[in-house]
Amino acid sequence: MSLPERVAVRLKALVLILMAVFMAQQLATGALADDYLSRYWWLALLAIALLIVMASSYDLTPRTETGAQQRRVSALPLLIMAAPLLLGVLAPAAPVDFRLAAPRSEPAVLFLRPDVRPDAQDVFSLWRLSLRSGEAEAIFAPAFGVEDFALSPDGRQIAATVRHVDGTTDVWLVAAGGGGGRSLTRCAPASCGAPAWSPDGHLLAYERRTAARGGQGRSHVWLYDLEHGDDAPVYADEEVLGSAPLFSPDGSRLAMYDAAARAIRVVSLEGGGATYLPSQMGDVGAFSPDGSALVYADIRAVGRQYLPELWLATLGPDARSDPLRQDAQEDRAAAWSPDGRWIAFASRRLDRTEGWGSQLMLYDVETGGVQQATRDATANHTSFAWAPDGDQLLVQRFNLDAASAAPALWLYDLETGEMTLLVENALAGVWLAGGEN
Amino acid sequence: MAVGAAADMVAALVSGTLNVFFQALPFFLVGAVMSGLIEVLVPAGEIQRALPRGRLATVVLGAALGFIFPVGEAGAVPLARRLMRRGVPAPAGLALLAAAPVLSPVALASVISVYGWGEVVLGQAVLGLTVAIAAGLVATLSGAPAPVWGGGEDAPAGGAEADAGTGSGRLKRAMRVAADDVFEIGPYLVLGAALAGTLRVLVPVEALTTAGGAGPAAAASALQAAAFVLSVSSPFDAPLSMAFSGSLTTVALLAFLVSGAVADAKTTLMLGTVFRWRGVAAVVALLGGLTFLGSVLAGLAGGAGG
Repeated sequence: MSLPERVAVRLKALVLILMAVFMAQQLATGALADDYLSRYWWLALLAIALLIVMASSYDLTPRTETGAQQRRVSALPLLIMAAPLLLGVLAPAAPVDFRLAAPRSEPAVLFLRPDVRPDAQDVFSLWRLSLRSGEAEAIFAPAFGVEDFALSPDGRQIAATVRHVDGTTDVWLVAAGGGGGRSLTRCAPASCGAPAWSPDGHLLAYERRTAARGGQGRSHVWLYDLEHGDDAPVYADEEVLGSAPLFSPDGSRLAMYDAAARAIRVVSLEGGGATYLPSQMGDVGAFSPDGSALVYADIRAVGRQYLPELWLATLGPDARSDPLRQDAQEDRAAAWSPDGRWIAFASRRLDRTEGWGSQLMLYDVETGGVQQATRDATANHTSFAWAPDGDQLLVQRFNLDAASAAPALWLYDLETGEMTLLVENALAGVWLAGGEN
Repeated sequence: MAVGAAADMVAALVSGTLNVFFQALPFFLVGAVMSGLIEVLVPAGEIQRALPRGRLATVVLGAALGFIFPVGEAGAVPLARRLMRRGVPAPAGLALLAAAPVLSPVALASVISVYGWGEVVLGQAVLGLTVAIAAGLVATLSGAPAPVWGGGEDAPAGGAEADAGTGSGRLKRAMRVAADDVFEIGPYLVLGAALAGTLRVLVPVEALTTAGGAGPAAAASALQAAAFVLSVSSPFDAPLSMAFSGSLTTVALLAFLVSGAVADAKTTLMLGTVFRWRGVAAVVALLGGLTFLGSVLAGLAGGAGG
C-alpha cells in the first residue's frame, strides 16, 4: 500500500499533532500523571512540544507538484505510528495505564503479610488479593518492611510507613497497582509514619516522632501538600504534640492524639477551633461518615483492672461525649459503616464466659442496640474494615488455640452472618475497590 | 467466563503496549532531535576527523558519551544510528547504544532519587560502563555486526547541507530530519512495545521478580528476563524496581537496572533499524551475556553488596 508523498507528508504532520493532543489530553485528565509521569510531568510537556515542532517542520503549503512530490511512498510506517493513537482512542475498555500491571478495577483487598524468613517475622510487605481470582501478589516489599499504610481516596496510591535499617521510618508513596514507589519524607534521625489522606487526596497527614535515647520521643503531626510539595507541621508550637492523625470523611476535621494532654484533639479545618476528648489509649478512633461524630476508646477502671471502653462523641458547637453502651465489656477497635448505620467493634466479655478472644459486635447507631456477630471462643477478632457498599466486613482473625497461629483475613457477610476465610497469614486489611457485588 | 478472560487479556495487552510506547516516547523524541541536530549542524566528515586513532580509545569515547546525552534506550537508537551513519565505527556506536540508557544524566538522577547516593548508583555506573566498553571491544575483535545501510558514511539526510542555511532554517531542517527519523524508527518502537505488551501478558513477571532472593546466577538471569519483558524506559527502571527491591540482593537489582536499559523487548526490535537481524540477535545476546557475567562476578566478589 502506498501514498503520494505529498499526502504522506500531510498525514505524518497530522499523526504528530494528534499524538501531541493525545498526550496533552492524557496529562490533563491525570491518566499520564498517575505513576510514570507524576514526577516527570515535564517529560510529557517536552514530548508535546517536540511533536508540535516536528510537525511544523513539514512544508504543507500547496504547490505545483514536482517529480519528487509525485513519488509514492509506503503507507505502512504511517499506519503503524498511528496504531497507538487508534488503540488509545478506540479501546475504552483498556484505558492508558502507565503502571506496571494491568488495570486494577476488580474488587481487591490490600493487606500486610509477614516475611517468610524465620528471623524476619516482624518484617511486613504489602500485598494485594484479587477477590475475583483469589490470587495474592506482593506489590511492595522494602528490605526492612512496611509498618502501616493508608490507601488514597481514589484507590490509586498507597502511603506506606517504610522502615530503614537503623529502625527509623519514612512515608513512601506506592502505586496501588504495583508500579513502584518513592520516598515522600526524609525524616532521619526522626521517624515519620501513620499516614492519613485527606478526602480530596491533596493532603497527607503523618506523625513525625523525634529520636530519643531509650524512649519514643515527642511526636508532632505534619501535613504534606501533594499538589505543591509543601511540608509543614500543623502547629508551629513544638509543645503541641500529636500522633495518629485522621481526617474526617467530609474533610472538615483533623483528629490527632495529644500525648501531653492525654486527649484526642479534633481540629476544625474550617473554623480553626479544637475539641478535646480525654483518652489514654493513644489512638483517635473512627469518624462517622458525615464527620459529625467520633467513636473512640478510653481506659476505665473496673476494680483493679483498667480496661478499654468505647465512647461516642458528637462534634461541633454542642459537643458532648458518652459511653457507647451502658453494659460495656472490654470494647475497642471501632469502625463506622459507610452508610453510618453500624459501628463494628471488638468486644471481650469481662467474665470470660466466651473465652479470651474478642468477638465482632455490631452497634446499631439508630436504636442503640448491639448484635453479636461472632461467637467463637477459640478466636480473636479485630481490625475491621467495611466494604464500600457496607454489606461486608473484613475481619482480622487470630486462632487462640494454636501455638503458632498466624493472623488471617476473613470476610463477614452482614446479610447471611457467615464468615469466610479470605487469606491466611495476613493482617491490617483494607478494601482496594468495591465489595464483591 | 472465557470471553471475559479473553477481554481482560486483550485489555492488558493494549494497556501494556500503550504503557511501553508512551513511556518511551519522550526519550525517543529527544534522541531523534539530537539525531537531526547532528545531521544538520555537524559538517560531513567532521566526526571522523574528531575521533581518536586507537580502536580502544574510540570505544571508550563512545561509552563515555553515554554520560552526556539525556536519552533512554529508545532515544539512544536514533542517536547512535545517526552517529554511525556519519562515520562513527560500529563498535563505538554499540558502546554508545549500551552506555547511554544506563549512564545518561536522566537515568542516574532517577536512581539517585530512589536509592540515594550509594552502592546502587555506583554499581549501575560501573557495571553499565564496563558492559558498554566490553561490548565495543568484543565487536572490535570479533567483527562488528553489519549496519543495515551497509556501512560507511551517508550523504546528508533529507537533502540537508550541514554547513549551509540560516539559523532558523537549519533548525527547521534538523526538526524535519528528526521527524523523518520518527517515522523511520518509530514503527519499530510501536512493534517493540506491542511485543513487550504481549510478553507482559504471557510471562509471569511476578514469579521472575520473586526469584531475586536466589543465588547470584539465578537471581541475575531471572531479573534480566523480567527487565526484558517489562521493557520499561531506563529512567523508570529504578522507581519500578522499588516494588520488589525488598526481596532482591543488590546484584540482582543491578542486573535488572542495567539489563533493562541495554536490552529489552522494545529495543530489540528498534535495533533492527541499525543492524541486520542476525546482528541484532548477536548484539542482544552479547549485551545480555555481559550484563549477566558482570552481575554474577560482582555478586561472587561481594563488591556490590551482593
